[in-house]
Amino acid sequence: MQRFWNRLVHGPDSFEGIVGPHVDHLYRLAWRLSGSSADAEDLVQDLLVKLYPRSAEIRGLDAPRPWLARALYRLYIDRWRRAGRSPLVEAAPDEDGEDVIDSSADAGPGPEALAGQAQEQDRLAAAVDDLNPDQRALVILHDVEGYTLTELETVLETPVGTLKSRLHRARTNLRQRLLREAPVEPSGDEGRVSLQR
Amino acid sequence: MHCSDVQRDIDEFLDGTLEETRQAEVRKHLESCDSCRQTLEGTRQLRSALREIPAPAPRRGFLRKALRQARRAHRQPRGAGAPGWFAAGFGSAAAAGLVAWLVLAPVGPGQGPGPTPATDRLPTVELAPGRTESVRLAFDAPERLEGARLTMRLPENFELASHPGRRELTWTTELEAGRNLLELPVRALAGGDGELVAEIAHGDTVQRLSIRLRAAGPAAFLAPNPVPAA
Repeated sequence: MQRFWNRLVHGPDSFEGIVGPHVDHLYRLAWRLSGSSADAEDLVQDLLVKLYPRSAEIRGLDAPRPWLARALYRLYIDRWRRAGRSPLVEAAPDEDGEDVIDSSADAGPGPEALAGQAQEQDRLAAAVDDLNPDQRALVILHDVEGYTLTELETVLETPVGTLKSRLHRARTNLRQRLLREAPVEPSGDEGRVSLQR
Repeated sequence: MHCSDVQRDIDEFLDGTLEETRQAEVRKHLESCDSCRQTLEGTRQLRSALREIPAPAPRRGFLRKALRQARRAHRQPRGAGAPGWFAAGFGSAAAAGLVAWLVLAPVGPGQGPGPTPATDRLPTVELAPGRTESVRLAFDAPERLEGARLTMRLPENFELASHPGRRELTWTTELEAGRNLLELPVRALAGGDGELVAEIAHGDTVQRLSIRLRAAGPAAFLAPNPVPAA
């Protein structure tokens, strides 16, 4: 109803008409990044205030969603920095360097299999939260929110090759965390366990 | 193509962003490699599971409040009082973008619609047939009103550009305390004039605001190809 109101009240080419349809998504992303409803609201509110003068620019975008996500992410990072914390961990060369993917890293039960054993979204969410901040942000944006690596090259201002390596490393870490907390022993058939509810 | 190549490209393969030839190479490799097929399926399942992690929706009213706040933060300081033409009463304001006010004064329960001003005193918006113009209505609410029911009725030969063919729309919404601006994208389909009626019902109170829409030009029906005003 609110979207209807916004589009009707302010017109489809207004700031409300252009950005309004994305606000729910931006809020969800802000909540996933910040971990709190209050912080998510603050982030989105600040973002909208900053974006308001840029209505025309946003209207001209072919794909406003990744652009908006990038703006939100930058704001999130800036807030953390101002607060004296850094959500970004300087990646060690062996963590985020190019071409570190090797098949041995995937040996043993995969994170997907372990997640399948868990069958609990809260365990999976906790494991994601336990990742270092840059890996966590990437997993949230790519695996949870569904941005493609191509889109994330813009959102995170990081080359696709680096993102691939980081994502691979994040999943390895995810696997380790799920393994540490796995309630049952792997059955040997984990790769075929459906994670669909 | 080696297994390590497939594993490197697996997310782009699932994203569908690999270039066509590379996508075909990965697909071909998967046809003959059990290990990579298993990795692919596992990755697909993990992504699916992660995508199902729930996130709360924003609380009710947040969207509208946040958008309103953004607009307010950049609003130019206004002069005191309402625009002169309004302060002087509902005269004719022959310009698109005319703003008509309706003050939702608290009234007693059961009170019917307020009197509609005489037709010759209605604020008037001139429209060019075939063009969409913004007609702005402002509702001043004494307090936040939840569950207000808004109805817009347009005269014959006019429609809301966002809802082609519709001349009447009703929806339930919230009005914030203070000014609520309603911008209607109105299109004249033919020459002529008529009365636009905005009705707000809240509880037992119903109030109406009317404005005159006037479209100069030919009386012929313009759809589907709008004709500029003569």
